[in-house]
Amino acid sequence: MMNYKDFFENALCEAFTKAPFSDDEQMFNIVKERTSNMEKKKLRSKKPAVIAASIAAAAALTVSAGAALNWDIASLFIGSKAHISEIPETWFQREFREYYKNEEFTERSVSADSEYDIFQALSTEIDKSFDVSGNDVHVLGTAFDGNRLDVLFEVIYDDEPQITEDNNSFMPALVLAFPDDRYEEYGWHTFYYETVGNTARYRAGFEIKMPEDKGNVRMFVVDENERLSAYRKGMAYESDNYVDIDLDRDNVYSYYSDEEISIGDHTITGIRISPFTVRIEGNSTDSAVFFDNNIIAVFSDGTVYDLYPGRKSAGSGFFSYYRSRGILLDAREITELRIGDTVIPIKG
Amino acid sequence: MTDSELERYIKLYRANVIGAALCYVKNTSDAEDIAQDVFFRLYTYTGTFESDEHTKAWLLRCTINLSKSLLRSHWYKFSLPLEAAGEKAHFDIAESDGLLQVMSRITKRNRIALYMYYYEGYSTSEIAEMTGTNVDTVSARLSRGRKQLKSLLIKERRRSDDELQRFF
Repeated sequence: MMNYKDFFENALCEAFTKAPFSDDEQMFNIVKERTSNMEKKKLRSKKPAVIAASIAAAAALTVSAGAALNWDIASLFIGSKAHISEIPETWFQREFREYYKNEEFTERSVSADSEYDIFQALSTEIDKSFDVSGNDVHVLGTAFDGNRLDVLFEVIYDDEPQITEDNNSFMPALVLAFPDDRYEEYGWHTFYYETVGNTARYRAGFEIKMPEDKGNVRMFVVDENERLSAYRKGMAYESDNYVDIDLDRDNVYSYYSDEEISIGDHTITGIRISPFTVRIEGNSTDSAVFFDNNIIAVFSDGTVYDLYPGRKSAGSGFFSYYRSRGILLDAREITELRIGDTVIPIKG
Repeated sequence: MTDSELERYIKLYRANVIGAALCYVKNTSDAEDIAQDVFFRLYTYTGTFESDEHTKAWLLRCTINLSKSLLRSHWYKFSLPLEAAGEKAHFDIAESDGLLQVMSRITKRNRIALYMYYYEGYSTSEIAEMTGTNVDTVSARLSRGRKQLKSLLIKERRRSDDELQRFF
């Protein structure tokens, strides 16, 4: 039986070994430089156009009106300068302005300590320790909200480590093995919280594709070299360092309401809030009004957070996901959700 | 997109983008150019992504489109790259030896289908959407590609390349 994945893996390894491709840092610098050049070029390109237009206009006017016309070419240059000095609005600024329509806005932010504590309270306890290349890795718990799996873990060192944002010291690799033999190793977002004595605390999150109801995954906690080796070979992990996690969508919501709410011609039949996702359910097959608009979560301390639309599903009804992109949604602290002009109180 | 997001996506998907580009173009310098163009587009992209998987799919689709555009361009058809004069950065995969050369001999359409299916793990319907074809076409290309690859590897094996035998 031929292993096609292995074939491409090795062929690409050959390419990367033989050909001098840019590495990650070089690629990043090239893209940055190109963007910067493009911005400069944009500005430069406006100047000659205006000059050419002004000369053409001046010539035309000279022919038609003659020298009697008091023609001030300099004013055109002043005009062009004024045009050039305008800083173009970025897409984010434009979206931001249009979305919030100049309303007062504060982005949600919670302190690392507070988020860690809240997350610990919401997560399912695991409490398993692993020796990963001589480092003691302690997995405390996990939280799954139907869309995103987050893992709380600690790395315990012999001595107090010096950890900065750029240097996370030792970091284990987390790999999910699915029952259908899928392995997911990309996309973990790891957040460093704090160091207490010789223990460094982290949270790692991962958005996963799961069947709608429930499923079990095996999370391997391995060394980065082991991960790379297994990935290159396209082989299953042989490590004993794993945690079996039962992912059940029904037990992950910290808030659920089945109160019916009308928004225009649409009716919401259920709202679920989980650590990182708000799910809106309805009895209409047309969920565009919800899906196309962001939802704002308002917290008890007055801060708000803009939730991003996720996927939707058709059928007899609909549901739309709105993701927090890693910001913890503690339903106990959310007072209301806003969809356009509609305010939905949350009694968390 | 922020600098740190760009940096992260380059780290995650640079190899995938270059791999997909290599399924289309003849040499590594073109693949590198396409990859730079793809990440440049990502950096200046104004939309939002649902997940990393979504970003990856977007990047690969962008790679496919840019590669096709490059192949269609008059300039590409009728010119030799400067590196062909002997500059070190150029590496023609068709003239290489080993697996890369075998890969380059698979028909382009079959090659990208095999790559996306087996290496990137996409379904036939996802590949159909990304490459602008239909599911039946992708399935046919996969079938033809498998036969072609097998035949190429057998030929290579006959040329006493022991290294290739481990794929059987």
